[in-house]
Amino acid sequence: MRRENETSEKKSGRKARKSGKREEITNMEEKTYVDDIDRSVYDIKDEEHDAFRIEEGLTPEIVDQISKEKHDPEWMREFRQQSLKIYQELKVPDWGPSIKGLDMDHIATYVRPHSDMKNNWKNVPKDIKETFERLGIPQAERKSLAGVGAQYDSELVYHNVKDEVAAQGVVYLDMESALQGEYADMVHEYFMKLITPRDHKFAALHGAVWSGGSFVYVPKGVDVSIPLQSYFRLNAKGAGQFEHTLIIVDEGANLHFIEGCSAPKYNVANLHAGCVELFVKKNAKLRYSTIENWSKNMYNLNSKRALVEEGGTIEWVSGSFGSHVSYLYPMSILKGRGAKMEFTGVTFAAAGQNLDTGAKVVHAAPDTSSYMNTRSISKGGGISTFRSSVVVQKNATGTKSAVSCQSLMLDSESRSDTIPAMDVRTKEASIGHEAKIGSISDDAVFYLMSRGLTEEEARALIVSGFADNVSKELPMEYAVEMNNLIRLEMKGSIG
Amino acid sequence: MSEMKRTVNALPSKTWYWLKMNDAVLPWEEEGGSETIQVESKNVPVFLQVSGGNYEKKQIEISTKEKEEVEVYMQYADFSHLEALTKIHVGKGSRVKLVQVMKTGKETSLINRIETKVEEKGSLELYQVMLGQGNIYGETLTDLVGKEASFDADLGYLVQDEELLDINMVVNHFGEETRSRIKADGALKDKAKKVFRGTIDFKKGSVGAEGEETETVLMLGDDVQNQTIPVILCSEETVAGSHGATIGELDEDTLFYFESRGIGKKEAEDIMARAAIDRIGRLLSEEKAQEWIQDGLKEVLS
Repeated sequence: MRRENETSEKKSGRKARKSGKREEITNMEEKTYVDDIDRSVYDIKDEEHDAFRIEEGLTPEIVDQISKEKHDPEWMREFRQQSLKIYQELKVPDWGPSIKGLDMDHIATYVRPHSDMKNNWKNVPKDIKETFERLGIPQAERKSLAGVGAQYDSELVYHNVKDEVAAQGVVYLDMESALQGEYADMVHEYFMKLITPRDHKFAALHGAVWSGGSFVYVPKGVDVSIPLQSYFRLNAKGAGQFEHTLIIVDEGANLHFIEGCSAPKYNVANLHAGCVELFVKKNAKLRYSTIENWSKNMYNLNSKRALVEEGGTIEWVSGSFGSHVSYLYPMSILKGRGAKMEFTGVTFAAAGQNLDTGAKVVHAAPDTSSYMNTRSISKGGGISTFRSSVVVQKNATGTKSAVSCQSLMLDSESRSDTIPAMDVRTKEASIGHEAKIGSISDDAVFYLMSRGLTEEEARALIVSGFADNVSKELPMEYAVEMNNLIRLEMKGSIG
Repeated sequence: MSEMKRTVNALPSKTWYWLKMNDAVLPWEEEGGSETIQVESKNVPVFLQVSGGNYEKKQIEISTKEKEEVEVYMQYADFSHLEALTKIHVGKGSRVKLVQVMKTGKETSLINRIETKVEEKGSLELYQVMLGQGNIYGETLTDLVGKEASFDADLGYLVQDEELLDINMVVNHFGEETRSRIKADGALKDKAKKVFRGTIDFKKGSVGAEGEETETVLMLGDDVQNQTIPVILCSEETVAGSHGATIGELDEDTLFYFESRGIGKKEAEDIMARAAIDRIGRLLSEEKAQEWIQDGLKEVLS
């Protein structure tokens, strides 16, 4: 590692403002740069041994070929072609981060790994298994999960659910099996009905080339006491991952689903345009947790939506750390009386990242409630935008909604924006919103340093504390991983 | 005159189109005659009646040099469709106080724009009262370019019937230790619609700047619509920005307070609707401006 003291000129503005403070603080102003440390766990590239890699680009023939490879039923083949037409009609959004670096003519939309799906890690090819072991997935499964799906490029390579959970009637399948087997009608009924291809350009793209993902059905009244997890790993260079997650939690049931994602970094663009559709039935509860750590060449154009019926609850817990560009705003439609939504999120944008994240909620029934609590951190030239919408329809009397978003700027090379929108169409609602933006308090850093921490440790601790709204909502192992990610990012600079 | 559509009040940072909050679209015919009114620095308050015929365009210019003070009181009345632009230059150490009382008649529309540049240690104090009988599109663009330049805005409004109030306030912090504060309070009755876009933009170099915006909306009608989008854009580390919004009907505690004093819900709502306007009146020392406000309130609440 290289340490250099930056001249104080660069921070002259800050110094001027803070003149007269203690000498120790003035010294602390001297910015120290440290080389970025190795993201070894996430960045290891496996040699590609693809069983099949579709040609790059997006044409009706390519889409048909994907359909053929996946043995789609006829309705799905038609659905893909219809989605492709919509994709070609819709415009690229002009209100968010630039995605000019993404050229669909150079993205392979389907890459099948050299393994069929297994339900025993012993049978997964060694190189793929080692990747997931480095990411801690089999260990987590043994210790704390009810079931795991592991996707490698475009297909699942491992899928398993514990016997006792299956015995409760819980269905946890890869999407392809669900599409072909006894749940085929259910998939047909729900697939892309909540997020339709008309929603936006990349929802249409997903409809055309989707592959992989999970189907979960939790029967009425069943409480799945430990979480299910899907992990998505994109290894192939210049490829896209388009997994589809469809979860139905039936009346009075309860589920916690965890999603993780990562990829090694390449010097060409990769694309993730997954789709998550969640149906929360009457008095059911679903918590959907995500730790996203895509590599910093990834365009993460993901769509997530939940439809919540009477008395149901959706809880989103979201940590966004990776990607070059992200558009990610989980949406909740509170359709039934008394439905609830909570969104807890943290976004950390470092050098080379433009992360546009947030949440959307539509109150479409009386006595519904929503709460968004987010933190954004920008560092090293990273751009973080919190974007939200709260829509209260005229019939949603008795609605209560609160939004709290806080942003932390760690240097002046970075950028942080908050763009929250509220549209309220009934007088019988109580809507609150608050937002703050600022920098780390020098006094807090000084306090921690006076107790023996280095400046880097002090700042990392403060940032971890700033993001504790998310970490305290995650299972222990994931909270530890998230804090490690923050420490990893904070290694880059002091100042 | 040919009819054409215009967009006004564009949000500096767009969001989802489906929300229909990125700008306002209005059918607006070609403007008629135009007139420029210049206000020089004076030590006495200046009172302006701004009125005109159909589709007229007015430009009001207020300019200060160094360490000057100007107070301008403007009342908009007697027009059908009017577009007014107030251009302000606040010189070093100068202070401009601008009061605008917008009393629009039924089925009238007003585009009221203010563009201001504030130099070092200069300040703009803006007070706006919007009494709803016509559609009002208000846009205020303020550049705080000099060190320690400041902008304070207090807005009070009452929108009723099927009228629209569409506001876009943008404060650009360029200078070090610049400060802005926006406070907008008001009430919506009947089928009224209000849009409030408030943007505080901390530009690179605005070290030590502070910006704050707060909004309270009292929803009184069964068919009202309120859209609020309070934006903070930030390219500088050592700044402090905040915004807060509270939207809803009269809370139970307030209602109980009134009822315990023999005041029913309807009367309590009228009192609270007036309160947002009266707050601005109390901040003003000039009796004439207070009269404008009280006369306007009487008229629109009668």
